[in-house]
Amino acid sequence: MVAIWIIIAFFAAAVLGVIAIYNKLVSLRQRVKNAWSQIDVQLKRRHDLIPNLVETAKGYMNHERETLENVTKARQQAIDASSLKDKMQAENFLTQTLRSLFAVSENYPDLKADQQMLQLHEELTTTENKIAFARQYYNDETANYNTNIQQFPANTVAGLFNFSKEDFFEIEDPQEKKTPQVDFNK
Amino acid sequence: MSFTFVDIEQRKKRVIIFLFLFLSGFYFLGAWLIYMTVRGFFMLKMTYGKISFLSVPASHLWSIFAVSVIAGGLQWYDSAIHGTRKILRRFKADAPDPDDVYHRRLDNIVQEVRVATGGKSIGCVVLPDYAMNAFSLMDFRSQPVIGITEGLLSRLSRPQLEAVIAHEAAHIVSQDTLIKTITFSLFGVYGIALNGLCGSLKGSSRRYSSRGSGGTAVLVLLLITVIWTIHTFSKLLSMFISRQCEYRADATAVRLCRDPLSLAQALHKISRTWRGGGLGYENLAGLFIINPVHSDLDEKESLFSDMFSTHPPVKKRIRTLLDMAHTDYATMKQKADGIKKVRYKEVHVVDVKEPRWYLAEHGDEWAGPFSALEIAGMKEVRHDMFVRKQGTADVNFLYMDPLLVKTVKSCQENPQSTHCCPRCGGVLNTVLYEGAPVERCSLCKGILLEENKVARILTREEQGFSDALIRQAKLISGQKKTADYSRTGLHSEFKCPQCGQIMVRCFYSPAYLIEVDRCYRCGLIWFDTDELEIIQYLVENSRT
Repeated sequence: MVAIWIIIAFFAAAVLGVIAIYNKLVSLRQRVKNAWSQIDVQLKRRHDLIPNLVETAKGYMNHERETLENVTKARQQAIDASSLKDKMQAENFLTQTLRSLFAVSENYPDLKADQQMLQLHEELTTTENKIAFARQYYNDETANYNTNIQQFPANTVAGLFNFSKEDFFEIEDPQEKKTPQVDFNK
Repeated sequence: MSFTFVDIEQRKKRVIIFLFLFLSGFYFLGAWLIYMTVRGFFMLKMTYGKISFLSVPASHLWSIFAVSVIAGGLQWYDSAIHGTRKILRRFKADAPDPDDVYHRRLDNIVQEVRVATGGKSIGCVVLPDYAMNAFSLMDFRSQPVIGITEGLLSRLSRPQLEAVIAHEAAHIVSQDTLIKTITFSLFGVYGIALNGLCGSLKGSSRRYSSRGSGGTAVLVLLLITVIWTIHTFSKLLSMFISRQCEYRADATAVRLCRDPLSLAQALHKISRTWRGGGLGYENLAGLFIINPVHSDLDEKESLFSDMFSTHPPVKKRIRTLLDMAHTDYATMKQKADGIKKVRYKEVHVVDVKEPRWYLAEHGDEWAGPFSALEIAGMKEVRHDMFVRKQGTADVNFLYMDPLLVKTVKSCQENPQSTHCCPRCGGVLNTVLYEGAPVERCSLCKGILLEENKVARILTREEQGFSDALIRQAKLISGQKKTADYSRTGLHSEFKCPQCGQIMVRCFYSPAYLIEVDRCYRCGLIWFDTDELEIIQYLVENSRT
């Protein structure tokens, strides 16, 4: 009789444990999703800013048609990308083209002093920084989630209910790996 | 962070209960003293000296207790709900101005840090002071805010500002801010009241000394004694605010913005300048990133200073941050000072995104371009003149352009609505000067400025100066001893462009003897051509 009770108690404890772990994993996964949506908002904001930037720059840059076209192309690619991996690649490419655009704009003092350009500069800087911070937050949350689903005993629950590992949002550009800050004002 | 959410909540609860008890104890003591005095007074009168201070009826004791708990509760409730608002009003803090370049940048940075914290609700305000400091506030009702002074905003680079804001955001995330705000709005008020009363005592002693009526002064003196006692006792509360908060916030800030070097540079810069001692910041010292007044206690590392000081030694904070950044003090200092030398030399005053038109009479040359307000302000403007919008080629009659018609009409109906230059009657345009929107006359280049915006201009150093202006400024600063005071305080020949009243002519300040015209009703100052630039030059050079 006692043995039966012990077994029942054991099972009850196991079920409760599974429920607790399951709930924790769900909330962690939700946080990762939430963090991703934050990145998405900022990426969209950057896409919206770029046509304005190109339009303003066009007025001053006569010899840099190629650079400007590259930016527009990269933006279109980034908007069209659907999977996370494509998206990461396209966004990294866009960051690079933007950087080369700002490098080139150093040669045009009129453009640098243009009030609208300065404002766009600031807007883009803040959006870039927000993307960097949102990515940082996303990666932190993802790391937390991934660690949790690989640890015992959560890994059994994760296997049971199909919690799979999430991808990090990685950067390929070695220059950007150094610091998350992008300061165009320098 | 080593703190979990549960820890934070538990600590918060403990602190709040403690604060409430402490406050009630205070009121109980105060009520007890008053009760004893009154009782002793009456007994002395009635029974001629048969007083026993120790035997107090239990009902009296209970009522004292009830009164003190209720009073404590009311004050606590007031602080916990309105703490942020009260403190912000005291410092004349304002939300960032969306037209101001620096303020817009601050707003952007706060939004960035919000993203790094995972989307916490954080607002920001700007204090119109020259000092360099930052603080954060939080209570139970309103949105948590980060406050930055104009001085800090203008003299830190973008990454440094980001690091400071991350530090303050860290306080908000860990809820240190909530505890500090409530503590200081509960007990900081006594220090503020003390300052105010001391000031009024000085004033009244001067006023009454000749007449020999010192009654008010005695009363004020009595009040000061009482408040001073409470104030001194409340200083014990700093025991309660741990130095560890600052170390922890530094660490969290680094985790948020991953830039220990910039935070170290910012701390280094702030620690070497005026941090707001004398502005009333010292009564709320624990709220600031670095103590507004220098105290030797802060710089020591003993058990005593650990207990009584609210801020850890700056040197140690910087050292810890530099260890994280893998650099040493010398390189950090070099880099921190290096930033200051990058200055824009060209003068750039740019109109804020306003359309402009060229204007011509029939058969005349094109003149302009002018803004809509300038055209409306012209005496000879007529609806059948030709206009051509800048950047386009098509010519129209003036009455065909709806914006121009509207502006001209409103200008004729209500001449006060458009500000006119008090000196020459030209139209005042809103332009960006040192990143701040100011009203500048299109003809004589005088500047109309609100008093609380002056700090913005004077702390920013983008603007370069011409040699002629520097010579003029040196001449004026040399004349300090022979300055002519006879013209100050009199009515000037100008009318305030806003309210139409006569302005008052006075020196800008005792330190900078430049004659300006003020309207005390609207809080506006009129600077004639170059006057603001001269003050700016003098202020900048007194600093270096």
